[in-house]
This record gives sequence, structure tokens and C-alpha cells, in this order.
Amino acid sequence: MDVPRPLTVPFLALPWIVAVCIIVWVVVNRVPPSGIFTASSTMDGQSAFINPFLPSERVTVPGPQADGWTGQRITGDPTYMTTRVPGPYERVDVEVEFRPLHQPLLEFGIVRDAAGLDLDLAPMYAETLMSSVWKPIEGGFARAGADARTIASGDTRILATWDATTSMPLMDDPAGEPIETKVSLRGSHDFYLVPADGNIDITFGIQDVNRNEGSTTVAFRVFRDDVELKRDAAQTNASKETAMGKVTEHRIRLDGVGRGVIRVAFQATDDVFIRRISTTSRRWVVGPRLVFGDVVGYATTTTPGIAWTTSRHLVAETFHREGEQEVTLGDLRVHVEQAHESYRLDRIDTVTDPVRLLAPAGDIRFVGDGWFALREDAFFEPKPKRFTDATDPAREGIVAVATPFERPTDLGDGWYRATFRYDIDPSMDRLRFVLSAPGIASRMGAVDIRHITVAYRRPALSFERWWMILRQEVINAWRRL
Amino acid sequence: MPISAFLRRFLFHVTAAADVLAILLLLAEFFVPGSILPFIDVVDLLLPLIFLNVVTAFLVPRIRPPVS
Repeated sequence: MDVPRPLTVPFLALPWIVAVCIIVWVVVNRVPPSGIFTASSTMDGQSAFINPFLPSERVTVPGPQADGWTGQRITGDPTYMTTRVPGPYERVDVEVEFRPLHQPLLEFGIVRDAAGLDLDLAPMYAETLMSSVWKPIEGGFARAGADARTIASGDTRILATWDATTSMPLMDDPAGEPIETKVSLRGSHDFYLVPADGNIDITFGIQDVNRNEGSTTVAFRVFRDDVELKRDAAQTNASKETAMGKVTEHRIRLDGVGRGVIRVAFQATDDVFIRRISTTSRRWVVGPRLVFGDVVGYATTTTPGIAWTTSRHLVAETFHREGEQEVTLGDLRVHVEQAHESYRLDRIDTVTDPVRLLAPAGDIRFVGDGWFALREDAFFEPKPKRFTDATDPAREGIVAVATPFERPTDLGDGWYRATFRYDIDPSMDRLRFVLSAPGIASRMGAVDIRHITVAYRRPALSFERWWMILRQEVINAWRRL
Repeated sequence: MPISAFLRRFLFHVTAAADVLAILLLLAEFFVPGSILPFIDVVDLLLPLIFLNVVTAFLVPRIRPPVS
């Protein structure tokens, strides 16, 4: 039997047409004319664009779970998920279907830097704020019956903040002579100061203990309401020095800042200790992170860590056996009996004044929901307390929470859907997201994730735009080579 | 054209088109990693492609160009 000649050419062209169609299909998916590329995953580990959460010791194996659902269970904090960016996009929408189990608070965010320090976190779930007792208002949530203007009032006694920035109060104290405070603080800290007669003058006595060889750069950044006013830096000692360095002074002076609260961010590695602070400010606090350093090689007797705080919830952790001790917060006592373990201090009293925090052996890190004064008379609250997983608004008298939190969509059976949006750098070919579930391990909680959708967006393509994107693709390819 | 000759010629074109497509896709993946494999796992398809080439190699010698 013969095949008629007019039919042979179309049939023989068929494989080539299919090949061209496949190439067009790949290009259309890679550079979609609509400007939207969507990938989704049931968290079974099969998606080429969405990888499961890690590290593995804090999550279950993705796929079918023991209790009959498919996805991944998170049991530790924090966990990270990476996604593959299918080309140069400007924005990403992430939709997460999750089920919290004995976990009152969740945050989701994007990691902006390779070191994992620059996090853009957003509220994901708060059991408290899901209750009908709390009503959404402009800028956050308020208890039913509370004044909707509470958030604008900035009243630190009745307001908490959760991943939101609030304007700091306008404060000023009279000028005076500098007062020196002996301290032993290790690594980075944020200092909040009330200007003295409109000026800021603070001198840090810093010491490089050289437990890691070499000099260390210390950065000083001065902010008012997150607007940077000044930046300064200091080098600790010679690059090959291994002995404990001398205490050197570095002064930060800013005149004419007027009324307000000024934040001085002291940024350094844990090799750098602050041994003394001298300032004309009568009121200054540290927080929400406070690290009492040790005095090994600096003093012959142990220096206790003492501070005054209105924090109601603290997490304490030491990294050395010498830091195992009984910590006192007001009437509350907790024995920190093992290094590298987190210990919670949750006050249930009704005291609103600052209480004393005592760590007799020093060498311990605290993270609180409030601020710490290293002199009793220096205490003030620069901002409302942080809303944390341990916050009990009814007990603590909190009637409003300043937060960008939006309640997730209730999908039934305890499942919720939350959506997040981030601007991204078009040159990134991989994104890293973080899911924070504070305290999840200690309360034996879990978060189930059953579905994630990632939608990358850029404007719909004109011909010029098409060329720009192709050019960006070539630039990205060149960088990778 | 006899149907057996046509089928062999068709197989030749299928194999040639698949080879060209695979090379183009692998080159694109080499220059822009992640641009192809998430959509089509070309690597997984290499074994069937080799098999197709072997089968074609046995049959193609019997295809002769027309004598001018």
C-alpha cells in the first residue's frame, strides 16, 4: 500500500511542529505574557518550584502524614522554605493553608539576605485576635468596647504592638552631667534614650575579648522613628591580636534632636563587650534583647546581671555552663539548669511598675516583650510592649494591638488560609521564606501545612517589556556563569 | 511512497526532531539554570531518547535518498 505523496509532507512535518510547540509552551510558561506565573504544592515534596520546609529535625517528612492528611507538620521554630523563581519577577504572593495545633501565634516572612538576619516578618495567626472579643480597627485590633483611637494614643499601658511600627512619644529631660553605669553587655543591643535638653550624648566603653582572633568592626546607628539620623563605626583592635583588648571609649553625640525618643543601635559580634555606659540622658533602656556577658579575664569576681523591666514574658538562655543559675524576675524564679536550652519566665502578677531582673552569674541572654533599664531610675517605655505568643491581654490590661494582622480565611476543620505579598529583587532566582512559631517546641505544639501557592507577578508584557525581560534573563545567566 | 518506507522516514523525523529539541532545551538549561527542568525533566527523557536513536539507527540505513 502506498501513501499518497500530498500526505507525506504534512505527516513528516508533524514531529517538527510538535517540537516547536513544546518550545513555545516552555517560553510562554517561562515568560508568560500575562505577567503572572503560579506554582502550587501540596507539600508532598514533588514540586519543582516549591521546596518543603527545613531543617528536617523541626518538620516531618513531606507527603502522607500518620493521621491521614497530606502535607508537612512543623514542630520546631524557625523553619524555612525555599522557592525557585521562574524568571525576573517584581512581586510574589504566597498563599499558605495551615492548621495550628496548640500554637497561639504564627508569623510568616521572607528572608532578604544570605545570612538570614534581614527578615521581613508579617503576622500570620493569633489565637487571641481570632476571638470575637477583638474587633479589627484602623491600624490593628481593639477589644470590643474599647476606643478605636487607642492605637493613635500610643498609651504603653494598654497597647501592644505586633510587627508594626508606632511613633515614639515626644519626651525630653533637663540637661545634666553624664552618669556612668558599669555594665557587661555582649554583642548587639538597641538603646532607647530620652534626649537631655534636646541633645543625645552617650559614650560606650567597649572591649574586644578576642575569643575569635582579629579586629572587629562596631557599627553605631542612630534612629528616630526608624529614620536614620547618623551612622558611625569603630574598629576594636589590631587584626592579629588574640589577647583581651583594652576598653576603649566611643562617643555618640547628636545635638538639636529635640523632643522624642532616640534609638542607638549598637551592632557588633559577640566578641565585643560593653563594659560601661556614660550618658547625659536621664532615661535610657535596652531591648527587647539583653545579653549579660561574662567577666572572664576582665574581673576577678562574678558580676551579676541586674536590670529593671516591665516585661511580663521573658525567654532566658545561656550558652555556657558557667551561666547556669537561678534567675529572678520580680517574685518569679526560674532555674536555668542547662546551656543551650530556652527557659520561659511568664509573670502572672498585676504589678505595672518595673520589677527587678537578677541573673547572679551573668552570662545569659534575655529576650522580652518589654524593655530593660540598667539603672532603676532610668526606666521608661519607648514603645508599647510586643505582642507575643505568651501575651494574655485580659490579664495584662491590653485593650488594643497595633498590627498589620488580617484574620486568615477559615476553611473549616481548623484549617486557615493566609496570604502574604512581598516585593522581590528581579535578579533573585531563589527565595527563602521563614515560618516562625515561637515556643512551639516547649508547648509541644505543631503547625500543619497542606497547600502552598506561590504567584510571581510583573506587569503584563508589551513588546518593549518583553525585550527588557529577555535582557534581564541574559544578564542573570551571565552572572551565574 | 510505500507505507513501510513512509513509516521509517516518519520515525527518522520523530527522532531528529526529538534530538534537536532535547539539545536546545539542555543548552537553555545550561545557560539559564532552572529555566527548563522545572517544566520538562529532559534528563529523565534522555534514556527513552537514546532508545529511540538506537531503533532509528537500525532502520534509517534502509532509507535511501532519491537518485537524481
